[in-house]
Amino acid sequence: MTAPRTAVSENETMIYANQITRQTGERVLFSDLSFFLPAGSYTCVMGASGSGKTVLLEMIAGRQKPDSGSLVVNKIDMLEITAERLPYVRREIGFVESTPTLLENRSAVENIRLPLDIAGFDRRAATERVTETLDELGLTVIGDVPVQRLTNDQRWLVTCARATVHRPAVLLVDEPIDVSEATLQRQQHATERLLANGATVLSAMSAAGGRPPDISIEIKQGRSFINEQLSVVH
Amino acid sequence: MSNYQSYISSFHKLARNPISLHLQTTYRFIKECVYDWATMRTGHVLAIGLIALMLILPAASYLFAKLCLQIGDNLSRARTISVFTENQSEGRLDQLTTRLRQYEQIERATLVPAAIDSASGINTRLLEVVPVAALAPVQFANIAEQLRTLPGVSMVSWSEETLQRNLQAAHYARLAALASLALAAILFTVLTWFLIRNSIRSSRAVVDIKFLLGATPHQISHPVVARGVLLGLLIAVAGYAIVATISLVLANIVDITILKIRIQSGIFPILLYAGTVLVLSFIVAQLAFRRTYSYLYQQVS
Repeated sequence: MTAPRTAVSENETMIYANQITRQTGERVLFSDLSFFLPAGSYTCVMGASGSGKTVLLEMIAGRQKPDSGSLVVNKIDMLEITAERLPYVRREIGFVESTPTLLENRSAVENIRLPLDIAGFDRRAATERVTETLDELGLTVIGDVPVQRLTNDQRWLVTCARATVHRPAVLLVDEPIDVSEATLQRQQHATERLLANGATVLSAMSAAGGRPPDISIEIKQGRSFINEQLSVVH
Repeated sequence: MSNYQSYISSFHKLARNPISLHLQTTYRFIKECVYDWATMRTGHVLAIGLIALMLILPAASYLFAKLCLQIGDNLSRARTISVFTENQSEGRLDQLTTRLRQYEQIERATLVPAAIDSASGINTRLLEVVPVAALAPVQFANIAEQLRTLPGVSMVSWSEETLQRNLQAAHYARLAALASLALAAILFTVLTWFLIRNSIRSSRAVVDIKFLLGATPHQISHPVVARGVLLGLLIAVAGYAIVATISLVLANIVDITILKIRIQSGIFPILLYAGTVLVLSFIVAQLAFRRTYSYLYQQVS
C-alpha cells in the first residue's frame, strides 16, 4: 500500500457499500462487495467487459438496486430510499453514460442546461454556469448545434458537461465507447476541477494518461479487489 | 436488462440507422413545434407545413368535392327535352319557356296547361329546350310523356343515349367527391396517428432523461400534460374542420339522417356534429397521452 496522495478525511464517507450482491438471472455479477469512498476521492473501477462496472455505477446513481447488502450514498441509504426522495438524491450525482443519452433535437447548450433547470437555477446563473462549462470542455463553438449533428466525441463531451455543470457531490463516469484520447483528456480536466471542489469521482475508465486513482476497485469473477492508495480503513 | 436499459438500447440501435434517424428527427421537430417553439433550431418549414396541411386539408377537400358536385350538377342540367309546339308568338314563347324550367312547375297540372294555353296562339313549329334538373330516367320519360299530352305541343323528343351518358358522368363526379372526402378523412387519421405516436415517443425520451437527471414527477409531467393538451386541441380543430366539410358535402349529395338529426347544409347541425367531433378528438388525444403518463409513473415507481 502506497502513501496517500490526497488529504481526505476518513470521517467524510461519501459512498459506503457493505456486502452488496447483484445477480442477473443465474449469473452473479458480484457478491459481498464492500468498500467505502471518502469525499473528494478519485476511484477507478476496473474489470473485464460485462463484469458489472456499469451496474455498480448505476446502483450508486440510484438507477438500479442491489439484491442484498447496504449501499449508502451521501448519507442516503439507496435501498430504503423513497420514490419521492430519489430525484433530490440524483441531483447530487452526475452520471456520464458510456453511450450518450441526449435530447437529440435540442442544442448542446439546451442539453447541458437541463440539470440546472431541474435544480431551479435562475436564468442568468444557469447561463453563466453553462458558458463556463462549455469553455472548460472546449465546446463553445458547438453550443448552438443540435446534438444529433455532433460527432461521437462531441456528444460524449456534452454528456460530461451535463453531468458536471451543476457541480455534483458525486461524479460517476462510465467507460466510453470509441472516444479519442484527446477527448478523454478534456473530460479529465473537468474531473480534476470537480475533485478540487471536493467531489467524489468514481470512474470505470482506465486512468491512462490522466491522474492516477486514489482507490482502485477491480471486479473479477464476481469478487472485488480493493487497492487503496489512501490511508483509510475499510 | 431493465426497462430503461432496454428502451435506451433499442433507441440507440434505431438512431444508428440514417433513415430512421431522419424520420425520428422529423418526428421531434413536429413534436417540438407543437409545444415548445423555443427549442426549434431547424425544421420550421416541415413542422409548420404539417400543421398547415392538417388545417388546410378540410378546406382543400371541400373545394375539390364542391367542384366535383358542380360538374355533376352541370351534367344533370344538360339533360334536355325538346318540345315542339304548333304555334309561336315571341312574347308568349318566353312565358312558356319560363314556366317549364322547373320540374315542380310541370308537376302542377293547373299551371302547366294554363301556360300551354297561353302559348296556343303560336303558329310556328318551335324547337324549345327545356332543362330538367336531377331526374331519374323513368321520371324523365314521364315528364316527356306529360309534356307531349299538353295542348299546343305537337311533339316531344329527348336523347336516351345522351341522357344515360350524362347520368353516368354525373354519377362518377359524385363518386369523386365522396372519394376525395374519404381520402381526406384517411389522411387526417394517419396524420393524427403520426403526431400522437411520435409525440409519445419523444415524450418518453424526455421523461427518461429528465428523470435520470433528478426531475420530480411534477417537473416531468407538467410539459407532457401541456403537450397533450395542445396536441389534443390541434387534432380537435382539424377534426372539427374535416367533419364539418364532410357534413356539408354529404348534405349536397344525399339526404341522410344520423341519430335522428338530418344532415343538411344548415349551420346548426354541422356545428352540432363538428362540436361532437371536437370533444371526441380531444378525448382521444388525451387517452393516447395517458400512455405517456403511465410510462412516467411506471418509471417513478
